[in-house]
Amino acid sequence: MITKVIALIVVLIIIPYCIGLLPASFIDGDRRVISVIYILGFVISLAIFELISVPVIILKSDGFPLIVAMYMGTECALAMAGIILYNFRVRKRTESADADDTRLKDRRRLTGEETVLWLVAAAAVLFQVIMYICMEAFDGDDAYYVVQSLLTNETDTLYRIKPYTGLSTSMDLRHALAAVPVWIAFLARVSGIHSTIIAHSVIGILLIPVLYVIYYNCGVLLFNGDSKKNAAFMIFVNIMYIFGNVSIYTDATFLLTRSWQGKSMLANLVIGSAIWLLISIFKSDEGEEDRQTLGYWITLFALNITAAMCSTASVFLMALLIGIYGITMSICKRDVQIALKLMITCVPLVVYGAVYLLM
Amino acid sequence: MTQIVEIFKAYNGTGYYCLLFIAALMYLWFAEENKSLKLLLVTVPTVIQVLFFIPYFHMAYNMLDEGTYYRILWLLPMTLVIAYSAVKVIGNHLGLGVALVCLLLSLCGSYAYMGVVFDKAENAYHLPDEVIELCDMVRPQEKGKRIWVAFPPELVHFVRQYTTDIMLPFGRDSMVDSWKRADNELFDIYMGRDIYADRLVSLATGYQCDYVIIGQDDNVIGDVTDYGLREIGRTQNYIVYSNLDNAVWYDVGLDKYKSMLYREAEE
Repeated sequence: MITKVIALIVVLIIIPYCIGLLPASFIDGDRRVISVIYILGFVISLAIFELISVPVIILKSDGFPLIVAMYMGTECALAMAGIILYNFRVRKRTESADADDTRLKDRRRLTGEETVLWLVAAAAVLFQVIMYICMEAFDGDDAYYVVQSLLTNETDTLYRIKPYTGLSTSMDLRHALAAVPVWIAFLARVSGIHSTIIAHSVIGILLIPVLYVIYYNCGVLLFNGDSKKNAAFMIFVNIMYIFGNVSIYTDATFLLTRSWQGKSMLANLVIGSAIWLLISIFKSDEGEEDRQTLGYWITLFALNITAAMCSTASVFLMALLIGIYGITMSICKRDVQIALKLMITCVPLVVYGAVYLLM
Repeated sequence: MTQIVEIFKAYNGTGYYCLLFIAALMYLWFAEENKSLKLLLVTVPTVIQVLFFIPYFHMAYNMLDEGTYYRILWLLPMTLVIAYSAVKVIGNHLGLGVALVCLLLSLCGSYAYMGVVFDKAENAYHLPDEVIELCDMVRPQEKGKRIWVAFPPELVHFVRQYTTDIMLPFGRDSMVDSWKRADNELFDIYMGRDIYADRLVSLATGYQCDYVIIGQDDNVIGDVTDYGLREIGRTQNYIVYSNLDNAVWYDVGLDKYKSMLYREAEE
């Protein structure tokens, strides 16, 4: 059991964090914190999975072991590259500048009220994680997605067996391009845990807090680091999720009833990350004109690959969100380059759409 | 247009969060000083909402993914905008302000874990214990071997989430009315008010089912054991019959799985 947990911690937390050091080397020093680095790495890590898995799914019907080997190799290589690059680019510079000392001086103790607010916010997240583990939500789509994960892990085949019955079938391209079920199968393979348990009892333990880390990162930017206000913000976000079941269609309902499905990841993690990255790139206060944002741009590009991993609808949704923002921002700032740069980040969506239409 | 409004109403339920969102947008329109934030949190959501109600836009989306138009509304950062505005409104009066806003948000929303969707999990798989019990009763011991089992329709959602060694003559694709499902006589037999034993056994044998599972409360006309089935066990609500002794197996020249595939291909 311990080895299974350790395997998941390595694959889901340590490696993505190390990969996050790559883009984090290209952002401002004050934003290089664990919560930011991890989300950057998590997004890129998922994007790499999509890039590796889709060609294999299309070309090799029983290629799951190949995906596992290639993905693990690439992940480890990128994690190493992240550590090395970060060490050279960031740590060496800050060592001499006594930056750490300054940071320590800036770090202040939380006040009593602040502590209470943060404890309430943390308790609300913990409550949702416990409910995810202890409560089961019936969702008919699991008969497709969860079984697809189980089939992949048990038979090594990729989208060539009908999940509903078990009969052979030709590749279902529409679903095959969105590789979240294969990612769940990958987690099952490396941990040795049953795919259905991964989906229903394990992955939400990560995905639910990750969503709140994204909101936390948004809060840091929205309130310019005011921890007290950010704590209140996090409480409100939690309450809106816990009481967000106003219909079966909302992002909150999707998160709490089917967090393991690609659609839920799109509605919450991907769209949430997109908004956070856009704020990170474009929100600049006075005197902050020379900010380093390359790391966010890289991650936004990767996010559009991750979006494709979640659902075919992502092609339209992400392009719409980024497109509208790019156009309005370009008009307001009278700078067409903003729209052009944002268009480049949408290239993965165009490629994805083309593959879908041509095949 | 009516259809779009219906989708919008269905998405927003009671509509209170939607009203709070619109109020928050209006507030931020005046209160937000940072231009790029105002664009992202106010202008972009407003444009998306306007686009959402344009019928041509709806038609264009449907060409890509029909029936999921509500997903456009996922792009509205409702949670972020409402929570951000609320913090701005309460300012430094966080103690009382947080309590009041939490009360307002919980009254306007709907508690997620009270709906009919959730039940207490019976195991780590989040599948009914009885399904696992049934599967363990019939699943093959040899690794890689697969068998066909006729499960009652209410269980087919769960069976293959537990083990893919069990293949089903009909699955969820037969259950959803709106899908163009292939005719499956065995499914029709299960869904009928009365289950005729001779017909059930004949069809299950035709589908080369090694086991047949029937609900204890099902109204079975006749005795399935008269037609070659043998009871091998019971759970709280179901009876498991073996069909392995049925004479038809001795006439099957091909591997069972393959012969089923050939039959599907011929159809």
